[in-house]
Amino acid sequence: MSTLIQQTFEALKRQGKKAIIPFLTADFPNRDHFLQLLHALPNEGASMIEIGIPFSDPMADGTVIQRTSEQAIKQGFQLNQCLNDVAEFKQIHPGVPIVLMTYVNPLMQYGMRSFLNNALTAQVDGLLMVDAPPEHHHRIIPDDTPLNMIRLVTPTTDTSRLSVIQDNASGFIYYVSVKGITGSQVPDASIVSEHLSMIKHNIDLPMVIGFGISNAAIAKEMAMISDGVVVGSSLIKPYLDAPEVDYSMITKQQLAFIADMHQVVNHG
Amino acid sequence: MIKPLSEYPNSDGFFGDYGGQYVSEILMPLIHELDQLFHSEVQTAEFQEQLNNYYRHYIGRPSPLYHAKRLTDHCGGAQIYFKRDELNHTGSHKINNCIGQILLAKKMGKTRIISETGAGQHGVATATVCALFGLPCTVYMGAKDVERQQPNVFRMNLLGAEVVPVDNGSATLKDAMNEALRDWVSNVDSTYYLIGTAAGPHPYPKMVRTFQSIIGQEVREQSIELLGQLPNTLVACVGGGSNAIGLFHPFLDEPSVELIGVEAAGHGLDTHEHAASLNMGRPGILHGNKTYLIQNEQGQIAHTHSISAGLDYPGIGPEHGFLKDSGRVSYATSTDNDALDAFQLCSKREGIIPALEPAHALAHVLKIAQKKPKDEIIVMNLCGRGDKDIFTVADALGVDI
Repeated sequence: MSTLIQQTFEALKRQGKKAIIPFLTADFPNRDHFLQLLHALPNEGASMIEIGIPFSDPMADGTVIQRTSEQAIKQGFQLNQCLNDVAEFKQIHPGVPIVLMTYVNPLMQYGMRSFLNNALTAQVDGLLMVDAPPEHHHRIIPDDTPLNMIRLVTPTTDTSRLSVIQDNASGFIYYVSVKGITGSQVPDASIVSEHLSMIKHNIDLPMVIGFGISNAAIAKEMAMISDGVVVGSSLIKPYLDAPEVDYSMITKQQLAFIADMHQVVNHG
Repeated sequence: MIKPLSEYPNSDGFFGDYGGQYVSEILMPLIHELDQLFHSEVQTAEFQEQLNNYYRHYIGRPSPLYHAKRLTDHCGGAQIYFKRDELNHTGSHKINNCIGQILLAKKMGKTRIISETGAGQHGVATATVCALFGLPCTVYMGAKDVERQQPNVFRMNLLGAEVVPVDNGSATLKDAMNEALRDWVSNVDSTYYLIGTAAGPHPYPKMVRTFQSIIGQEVREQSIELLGQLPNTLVACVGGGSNAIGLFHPFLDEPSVELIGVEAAGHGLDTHEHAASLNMGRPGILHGNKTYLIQNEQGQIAHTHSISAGLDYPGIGPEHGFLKDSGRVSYATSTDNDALDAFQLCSKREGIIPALEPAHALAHVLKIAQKKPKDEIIVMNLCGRGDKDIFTVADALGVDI
């Protein structure tokens, strides 16, 4: 049986469209605006949504994710509540896949088995743990799970690693466009394209490009050589140093940012 | 047959369930390459000869094994010996590891070195070997540590290193390590990350242990030569745990030798202001390895406290987690005040100003020595000298200098 993530990519392919995947840090900038964004994004063209479960020490992320995570934790982020939020979202948007992105430790302390069960109940579709290499898959994930395991492939990944990456990968491959951290440099389409074709040769999953997707033009360039793009840091950054009274305005602006990206990528 | 403790980790870098390579995909190919190079290179006669040459003529090894008679008399019990690693070039044990790793970095063709530092001792040692080998060096240091370890910041600058203060999180060692990891993933082709403690993704814990084990090997030889026996007890402070594992490792399979690590209890274990990961933490994953971590129920890493910047870290090398669970090593604690008392006592009675890190170990030695018979021998690793700490200590004692 195919998963919702697979079905989503198949449908997009039939329509000749690419996935726009916004990334939100859970509960950032506060619960209210996080939920507003989450629920409004599908109407602006988001085909699935990644939710970042905040971790105090996000080593592979840049300043934006570090700071948004710190703020969410300080405001009392709770993983259970986040799963409830997903469950409620799914009541309203049953066709929009949700991928949770995080580091291993918060899930390990929650209890990996309970987390996987509760995530399934909440209808989470995919899981991406940044610091969980495929080599340690069975140490981290105790039993088989129907959740899609999203794996990273990066510019440093050579062909010899692709088979171990493919072993437990499902849903899609998250291709890290640059040698760096989230929210850093602008990716180079020709380099990315060359590496992607090598990977596609070995792994039969949709390829999504993330890191450095800071505007619609870059999104379009990257979408043309892949099956979709993740937009994270640039979506949530404007809240960081803004006073709370500006949040409503920023939320409107950022929804328009995604709508525009969708327009440029899929209708432009 | 049970596998001897000294033979861990396995080839994937696991000490039982601890250790491993919990890093982002971008670093995996590089740490595999490093793992292979380390294991093939370290065994060659050429590498060993180079390493020993630097140990001897640059660092000044072997460091003496010194009988602290006046402190022994003060306690009235077991004989207290210091392994004098504070006499090494740069003033701590950190240089042992830096020399080994920079030889590997050179071999890998890396052209830039980064590292993290807490107390600044590892930063100074890294800056030193970079000057020696002519490589540019960037050291990440928590902003709070930059503040309390000014002399070492200046020292690093003199050696030609760039010191980058880190404001994120608790602005201490763990945040410096996050920032160094970010730099590394952003510059993975040119850059070698010279980790100072026996933590991080495999092969770092094993590699750092290998280069620090010279401490324990020398203690073994020196004890037999000077005392005609192995010591009864070995004591070392543990922050990340590199000096302790270096002292302990050559004795892991000698059940007659008691091994004690001493963690920083800060303001006390009943407060939340300490850095005693093994005594108060639970297993989790941070900085590339599974180990004991001080964290909340949600798995968020806690802010720690110790008067000693070098011990102010919420994790611990994975091998120490393994050795704790196995019962082979016991882990005691000393508070800020215990360490301050020991710092002053050692200065006055032995004419040696110890770093605040080994002052934690010494505080525990002073407690146990009096309860042990006079014919027993305790060897403590005096892993760093205290010049860098005089401002912190003066401040704690209310003295304006």
